[in-house]
Amino acid sequence: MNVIVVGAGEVGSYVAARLSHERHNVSVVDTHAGRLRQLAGEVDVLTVEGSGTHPSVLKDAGLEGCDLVVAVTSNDEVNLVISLIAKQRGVGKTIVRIEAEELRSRASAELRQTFQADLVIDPDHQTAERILNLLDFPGASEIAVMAHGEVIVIGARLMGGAPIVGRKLSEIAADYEPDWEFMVGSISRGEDTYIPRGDYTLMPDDLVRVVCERRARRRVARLLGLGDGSVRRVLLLGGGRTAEILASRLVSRGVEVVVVERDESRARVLAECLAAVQVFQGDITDAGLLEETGLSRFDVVAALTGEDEANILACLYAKSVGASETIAVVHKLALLSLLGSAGVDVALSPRTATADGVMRFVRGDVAAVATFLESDAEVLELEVAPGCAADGAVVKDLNLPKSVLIGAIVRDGKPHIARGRSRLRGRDHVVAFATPDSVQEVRRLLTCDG
Amino acid sequence: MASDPGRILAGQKWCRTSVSGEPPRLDRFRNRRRFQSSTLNVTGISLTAVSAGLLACTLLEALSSDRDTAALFAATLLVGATGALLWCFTEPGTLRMRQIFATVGWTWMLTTLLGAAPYVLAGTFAVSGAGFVEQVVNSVFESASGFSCTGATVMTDFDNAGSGLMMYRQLTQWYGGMGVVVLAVAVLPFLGVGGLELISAEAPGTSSDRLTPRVSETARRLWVVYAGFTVLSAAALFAADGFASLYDAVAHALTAASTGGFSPHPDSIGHYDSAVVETVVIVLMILGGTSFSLHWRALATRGLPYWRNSEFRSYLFVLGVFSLGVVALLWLDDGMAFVSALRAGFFNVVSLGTSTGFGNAAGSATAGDYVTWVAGAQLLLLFLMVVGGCSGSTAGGIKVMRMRVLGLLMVRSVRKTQTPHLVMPVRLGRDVIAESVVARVAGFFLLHFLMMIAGLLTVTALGGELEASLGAVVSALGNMGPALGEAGPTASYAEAFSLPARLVLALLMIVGRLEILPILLAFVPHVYRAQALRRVIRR
Repeated sequence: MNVIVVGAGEVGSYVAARLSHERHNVSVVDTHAGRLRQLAGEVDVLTVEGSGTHPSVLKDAGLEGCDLVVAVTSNDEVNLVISLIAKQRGVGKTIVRIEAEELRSRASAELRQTFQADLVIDPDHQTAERILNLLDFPGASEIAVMAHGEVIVIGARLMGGAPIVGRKLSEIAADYEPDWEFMVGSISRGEDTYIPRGDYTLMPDDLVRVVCERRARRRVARLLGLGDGSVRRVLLLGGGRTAEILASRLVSRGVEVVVVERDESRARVLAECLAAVQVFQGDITDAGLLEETGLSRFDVVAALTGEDEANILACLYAKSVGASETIAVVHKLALLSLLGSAGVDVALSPRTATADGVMRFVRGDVAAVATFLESDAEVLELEVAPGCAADGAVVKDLNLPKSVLIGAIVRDGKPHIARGRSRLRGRDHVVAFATPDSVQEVRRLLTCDG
Repeated sequence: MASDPGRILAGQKWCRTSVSGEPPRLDRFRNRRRFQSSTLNVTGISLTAVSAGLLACTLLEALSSDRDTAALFAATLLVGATGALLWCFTEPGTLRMRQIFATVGWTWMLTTLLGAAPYVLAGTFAVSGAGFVEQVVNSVFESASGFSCTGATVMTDFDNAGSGLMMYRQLTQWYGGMGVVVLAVAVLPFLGVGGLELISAEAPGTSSDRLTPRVSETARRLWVVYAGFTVLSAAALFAADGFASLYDAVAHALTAASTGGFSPHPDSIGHYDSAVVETVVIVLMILGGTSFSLHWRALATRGLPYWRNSEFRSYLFVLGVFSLGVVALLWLDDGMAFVSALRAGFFNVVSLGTSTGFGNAAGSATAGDYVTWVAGAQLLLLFLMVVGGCSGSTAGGIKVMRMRVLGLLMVRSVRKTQTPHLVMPVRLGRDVIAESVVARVAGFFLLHFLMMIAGLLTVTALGGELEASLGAVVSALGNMGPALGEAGPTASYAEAFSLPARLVLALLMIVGRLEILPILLAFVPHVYRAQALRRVIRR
């Protein structure tokens, strides 16, 4: 597939890299030469300097014969115009990043129709959404919601006291015969990620991902040793858009929210538009300021600024004075491996949150994708194509690679945890764990594609 | 493009001819002939409007008591001619921000002075051997009390005036309620640019919101709502009164809608001696103390936006709490019967809380004379006088909205000592009050307070007794009318204050009505110096 990505910022670069790794032809357009040079040095993409709204620039990037244009500049209007230009030149699909609430709302659907945007994405919304999901399971390090919420993938680092630690997977499975409600989909131990078999024994400090049916999510959370107390007070460090979206959603759920923002005028804007939220102005690494907010009384402390170091430091400090859970947004993926042991409970990256949305769209038939930060495994949601190899086949006869595990099957909106003997049918939605190199194989088997 | 001098010149030329529609030379000639003064021009319009009212009163006088007809007719001519001359032979200059306030200030003072003419000519205050000076001072006091919607009076003999003149007295309050300048802006479309500032310099409250894109249209709508409200008030009063006296109904409607408080009867609403009329008057006063933009919205949307307005809610809350407090004090402390405590308490709280100043102390309800109440209840009334009605209404005082802002400012300063980094915008309902407005409100409060102290010092120095002076100064600044002590609701200011003190109080009323700044700036010399300088430069 030929793809043009306009905007080589954090999201654009990452999307371009992901697409390039999956063997698509990617060109990246940006006005900033330095960014392009850096990107070209790291990823196999064509870079074109210039404004994405200029047809000549887009032409240089290969607009003729292009299948997808991803407009992810930081300017909504520019993105919309790019979508319009692309569609006029016969590009099949466009993905547009829109931040303004007004333009994202249902009331503006007609406007988006005019600009022919096929998919609207927004990193801040997606990050906020992820954090909201995490808050439903305090202590979990990752949550992915699949199949319209029927299947939930919970990722958590096992503590010594969790009920399932020290047991073999086959033993655990035996406890829940004949009707499984959950299944361990992948295990990360140290640097490595495994798609486990029945003879694996769970150890403390393992990062496990469990796929479960919606109704069993609380039981699974207990098994994983997660607290099930609901979140009452949340401290958000950094008052960017993610914090704003998050705060308003939390307030509407009745959660007490406090926001700390460094910039004076931004702090004021936040305080003005979020009536029920207390806003403090100051540096999030200032211990005195954090004490002033009453740090230890919060159930969750989330650091959302653009500075990784500040986010991590603030989380460490919060942890040291007794905050029960800390969430840090981390932009530089290289820092991630440091965090688990350092006291940051959850780290998430806005770019993966956005890229998942893009990848799902690019893969077309894939209904959902979730990537987890600290491992290579992806969780896919695929629809079984009628007449394909998988249609009517039993799971264990499918000859799936060792690095693939089918976790759940959703038929007519009802989820079932997959067994070796489960039979797949056309139009089933399948939630599968796979390492990136086996994604193509899974798609071939299930959807006759790739 | 802008650097091309030929184009700029051509543009200017085009502008000039297109505005006047005539060759430039004639245009300049016409400009020369007229004297440029916004103050005189706006005063001209307001006097012309007043003379129209005077003419109606003259007709009324001629048809009814026919006692001051000649005097009223002379006054009509005097005021009308002055107004017409000023209007025709001056033109408004370009209004700069600082002149705007001074313009409004002078317009009010000039209108008040000329508005005293009917009283002087009719000899209304020529009673019990009053000299000419005393007559003039009393007339000016009465006129100021009228236009500022205060309702304090120096009349002692209400029978020494014809019904037409008494109607004129009511009418001055009606003019002052919505404001003569708002009227002028409604008339003059070309005042559009400086118009909003003119209105906000005159209209009570901190914000004057545009209801329409054109300011003159906004002003016109406000007057339409105001006039309509007055007609409905008259009808309600007429019906509540058992259709007994149309004259009284109209007279009281004029001063209820404007929350002025004048009455053609010395015993005010007490004259009716009717609980039904008092109830109707209470409702009218509350509506008069509500923002007229809100009334307009109610009409325009055919909905009831009142409850959604946070200022209106607190306004009702304040009136409710003070009423209950006063009624409780009267009932429990003063030993009044519960029903008469309820009637006297509610009426007087609403009357003073909306800055109207009607009294109901007569007939069976002598309990309404609050000067005889326990000190606590009187003190509550004094606090209430300071608060006043809603911003954008005809009521005076500091205004509920400002009081809330001040309250929040107080809360904020306390919380800020505990958590210095907390960002706390001042919020009224859903709306955030900009810091600049908060600062202005605080400044206004200090200014108001200072005026009160200065007024009190002056009035007591001029021989006023402390309790009456305190009441009168607060009452004058807040445009209530009746004060405490010797100047209570049944008394006349003439007995309590010396002539110079009356003049000071008259000035305070106008100061209070215009919320201090316009009058203050009217006396600041550099406003004019800058203007003169600019005129020189223009030549």
